[in-house]
Amino acid sequence: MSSPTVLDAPQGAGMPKREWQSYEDPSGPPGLRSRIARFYEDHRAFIRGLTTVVVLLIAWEVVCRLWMKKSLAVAPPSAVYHAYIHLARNGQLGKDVVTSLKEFLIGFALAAAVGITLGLLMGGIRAVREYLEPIVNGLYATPVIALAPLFILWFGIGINSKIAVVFILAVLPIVINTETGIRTVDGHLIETAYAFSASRAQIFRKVLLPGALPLLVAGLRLGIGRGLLGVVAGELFAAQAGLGYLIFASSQLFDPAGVFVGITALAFAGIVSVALLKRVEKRLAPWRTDTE
Amino acid sequence: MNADTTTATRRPVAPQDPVAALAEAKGITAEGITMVFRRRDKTTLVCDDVSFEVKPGEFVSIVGPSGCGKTTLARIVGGLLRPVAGTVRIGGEVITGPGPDRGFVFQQDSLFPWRNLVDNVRFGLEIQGTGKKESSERAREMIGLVGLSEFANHYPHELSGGMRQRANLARALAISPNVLLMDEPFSALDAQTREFMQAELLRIWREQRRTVLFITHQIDEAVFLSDRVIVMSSRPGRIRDIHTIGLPRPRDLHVKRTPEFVGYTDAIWRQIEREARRDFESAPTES
Repeated sequence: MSSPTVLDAPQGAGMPKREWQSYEDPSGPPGLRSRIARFYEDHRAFIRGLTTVVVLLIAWEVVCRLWMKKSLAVAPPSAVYHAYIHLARNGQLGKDVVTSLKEFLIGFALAAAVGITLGLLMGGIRAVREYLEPIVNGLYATPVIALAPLFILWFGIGINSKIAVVFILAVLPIVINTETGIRTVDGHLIETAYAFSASRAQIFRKVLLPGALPLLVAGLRLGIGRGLLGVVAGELFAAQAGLGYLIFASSQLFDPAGVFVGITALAFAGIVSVALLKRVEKRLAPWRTDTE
Repeated sequence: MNADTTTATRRPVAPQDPVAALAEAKGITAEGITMVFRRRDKTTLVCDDVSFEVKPGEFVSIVGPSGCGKTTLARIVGGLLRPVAGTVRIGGEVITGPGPDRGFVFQQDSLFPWRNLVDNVRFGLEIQGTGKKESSERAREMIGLVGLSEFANHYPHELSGGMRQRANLARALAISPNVLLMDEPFSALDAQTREFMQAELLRIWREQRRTVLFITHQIDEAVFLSDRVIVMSSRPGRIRDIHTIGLPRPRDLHVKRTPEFVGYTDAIWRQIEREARRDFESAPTES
């Protein structure tokens, strides 16, 4: 711990010496100021990002209040906030969130299970790859969201049709990334395992699988994004509840605040799922996160 | 921990007594190895009727210009490649593929990035079905032998190039192979690290007394390490000469400055100079 009498190194009490502090004005008082500066240094990227969001929200609010008071198409952030409170109180928001969450989770879980299995088989067995590759690539290139009306015909307007839409959208990037992950495992590592007389099954389990993990997780991340898209798109076509349905119904009632409630809730869901997956990835693949 | 039970369940470790360890080392006999690579309609004769022998516990190097098939030869002895003709015997038994009697140290970095050092080194034992506790114990022992105990729980990307090659060596030694096959293991290292690694390898070899077949393109490395040096010529790969290196053991790096040492390297260099020069002037070369 340095004493405040050392003029060229002012430091907060008990703080470790840091590079940036040497650039500080030596006559400035140590304590609060350097503490704020330190906090800013540590969270600079976050604070800058947050600044943009806050400025945009204020601008939005101001524009709405000054020039678009009577608009039926735009609502200021404060109105969105009140709509949140209102929808939460009367229970509709809860119902919509639960419905959408159920559709997403079931659809995504099915997509992950089927996608990973197919991807592993396609990556590991040549015949499977040759049989399935054209159709998987073809479907990936197709905007499969166009199948949503068909699924509603087949599975009805309940949650089953939405599960199907989520599944078909999420499964393709998972299959393709898993397969690519398996196929791009370093050939030297496979040969090394072979040199230690590993069997085919052992090479698969101990080399191909862990080697493919990073891309597999990347596939899941893409699948989350596309799955959320599937929830909304499915509900826009036909539904009885859900966040997509809330957006659709609110727009029909010229209630822009309700629309924004749906949109922001979905944005939040996306951010949370990707953050959760990053945690899982860190646990599953600690050797990669260290270098990032 | 109870010391009695651990020693009772322990796998027989490499004997510390060199004479006892010699019993474990087996010789290599290669007879009439011929290997052909086909690429489209072009056929290349890589090894042409190559025969040699490595006695149990002996350290033999193969040197030659690039494209002489020395790496191919190592891979054939390792069982990773099947020759067109000829047989390889380890301790009298004809090989048909990779086996736990041979430990392979590759040229390139071949540690598994998702395994820490202990888990990398015990990989071979894990493949053979040895339990985790037992194999980890053996792995730690080998990690100690190559001087990496402090880094046992590190991942490969946290280690330097020299450390990684030592780890590769430890992994090969962990399965207690009868024969150690090393394919240009130090070629990716800088000159100083390489020198230290050569001295380290000799120390480990003195302690472990395995049969070693060492592939290199560096003549001084081959002379410094080996009992005998096999010189190959390229296209097709044939054995050109075999030198017995009479330098006294144990050797340290000072040997490299003695006239005897320089005599050996000069003699070998003269044998491959013409081909090396031809390669140098007719770019691009095949690797």
